[in-house]
Amino acid sequence: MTRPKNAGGFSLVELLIAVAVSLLVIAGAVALLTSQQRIFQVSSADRALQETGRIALEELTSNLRMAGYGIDPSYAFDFGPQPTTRQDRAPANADLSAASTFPSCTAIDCRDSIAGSDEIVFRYRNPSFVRSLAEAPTGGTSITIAGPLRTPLFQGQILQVMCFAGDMIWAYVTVGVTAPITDSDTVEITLAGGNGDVFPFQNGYLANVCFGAVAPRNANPVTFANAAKVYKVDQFRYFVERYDEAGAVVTDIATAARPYLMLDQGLLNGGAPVLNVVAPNVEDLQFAYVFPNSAAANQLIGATANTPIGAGDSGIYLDLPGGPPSFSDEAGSAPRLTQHPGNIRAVAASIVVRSPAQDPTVFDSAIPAAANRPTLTGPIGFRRQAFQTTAATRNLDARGPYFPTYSTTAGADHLNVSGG
Amino acid sequence: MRTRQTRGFTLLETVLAMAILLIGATGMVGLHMQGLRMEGDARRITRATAIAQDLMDQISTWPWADPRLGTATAVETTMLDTLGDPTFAFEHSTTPTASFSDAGGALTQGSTTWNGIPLSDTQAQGYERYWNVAYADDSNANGVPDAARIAVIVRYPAGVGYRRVVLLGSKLNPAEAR
Repeated sequence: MTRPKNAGGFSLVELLIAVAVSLLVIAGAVALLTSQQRIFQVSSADRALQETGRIALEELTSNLRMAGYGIDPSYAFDFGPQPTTRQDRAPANADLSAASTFPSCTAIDCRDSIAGSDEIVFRYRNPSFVRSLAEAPTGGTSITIAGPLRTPLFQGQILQVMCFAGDMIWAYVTVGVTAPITDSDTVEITLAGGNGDVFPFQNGYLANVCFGAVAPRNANPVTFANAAKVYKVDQFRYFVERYDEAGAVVTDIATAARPYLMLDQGLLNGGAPVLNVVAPNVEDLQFAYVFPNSAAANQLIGATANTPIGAGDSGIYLDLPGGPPSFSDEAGSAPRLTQHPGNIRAVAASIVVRSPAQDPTVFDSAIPAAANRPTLTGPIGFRRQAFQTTAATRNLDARGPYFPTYSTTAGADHLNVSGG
Repeated sequence: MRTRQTRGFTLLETVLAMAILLIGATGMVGLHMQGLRMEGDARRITRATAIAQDLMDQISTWPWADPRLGTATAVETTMLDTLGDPTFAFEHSTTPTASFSDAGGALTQGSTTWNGIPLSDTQAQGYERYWNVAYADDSNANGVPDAARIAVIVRYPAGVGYRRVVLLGSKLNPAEAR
């Protein structure tokens, strides 16, 4: 029996060549795989950047455009306590004052920073909540509204109580004790604060007889048991906070702790603040404000590099001799042309977003400059992108508070006729 | 008994297989490059939209008689047909016809102040801003326009031409508001 010529196996040379060729092929495959993985990482970081940027900008601008809806312009933006604010139809059209509900803010410049992130606080009436007052308020410590409550009314929630009979006044009060979800027909809400007239604790105004007046004739006796309505006024404080892996707040902007765009609505649950995460990896927020300079021109406050927003000519006025703007002031009249926060016409918002994870091939640590904040040094190794846009705040031009009025004289009193 | 087919691959077969592998691998790389290009495009569109929104909201804070909206004393329909760039003229490399262009100093035209994203920022990234204004609406036929129809167009270089984003809006004439 003879061995076939080909069954003798490989020679050393053949084997070496085969190994070399397969090594080449494997090396190529590995190189392909690594480059694919690299491209995947870069592009997923890029997608995360853009997604965060879009979400954060959309959240900010869509809520900013609502700022001031249904409430007095003086209360739409919060830059700290205001010594005087005019509220139309307050008894005797009094000049009131507004307390800051954030003790952290005592002056105008507390919302603005050139060494880190700005914050912004604004309010508007929640368009989807309305309840009738079920009973005339007695004393200034609680109100009873028509039920049911589908979501809790948390401690710290600002309420606007409007009566559309008699003096047709309104008052801003604050929930003192969280009212839980209930199916009950009536819900008693304990109010915070005393009987004063300081926003948002105007409990003293509830003594006016119009809050106890009965509904206009022909009104549904169940839905309109009382001639006063209660609205929610929602508050938005957007800010940036860094948290480490244990959940503790980190204040040093140069550490790699993850920064979040946060929303604080001023609500307390069980005594603890309710904070919401809007978007992760938002490193910085900057705001500049458009004010009317004269009837024909606007000016931007807070966009000059290295210059923090202060009080006065180049900044924002909280206490003006001519008085703050109110509904009774026409567009273009003197109180509507000042740098009071009630005259903010638009907000220019800038955000800086960074990639979710550090990339060892990125050696940049600069947080790009935005508005009045110069370039800062952040943690190294993140891709960063700045987004900027403007949101107009047209509700601050409003001449009336969207009063739920119904005419009882076929429109002769210029009120809505059967629902408008 | 052994057959001829068990003797392994010929050199020609191996070369062919490797060539096919190479073509496949090149295709994958091309696919990734395409993916990266599209991502870059998405990023530029996101920014272009923010720039357009910025301009539109700035326009909403301008007074009716602002020189940057033209001075319409009469109803005119000049820009109406091309208001929102229906023919994609802004995606061609030629200079398009627009009522206003940021490169021409229109942002501060007539000694006005520009409060939006600075020109240096948008130009550094290759963005161009245009806005068209048409005073075509006059419901009571008194010859005074009721509103300005506005289209904001932002474009950036892409390939041999441009890509553009259009935002439409309007501004009411306070004198005609009822």
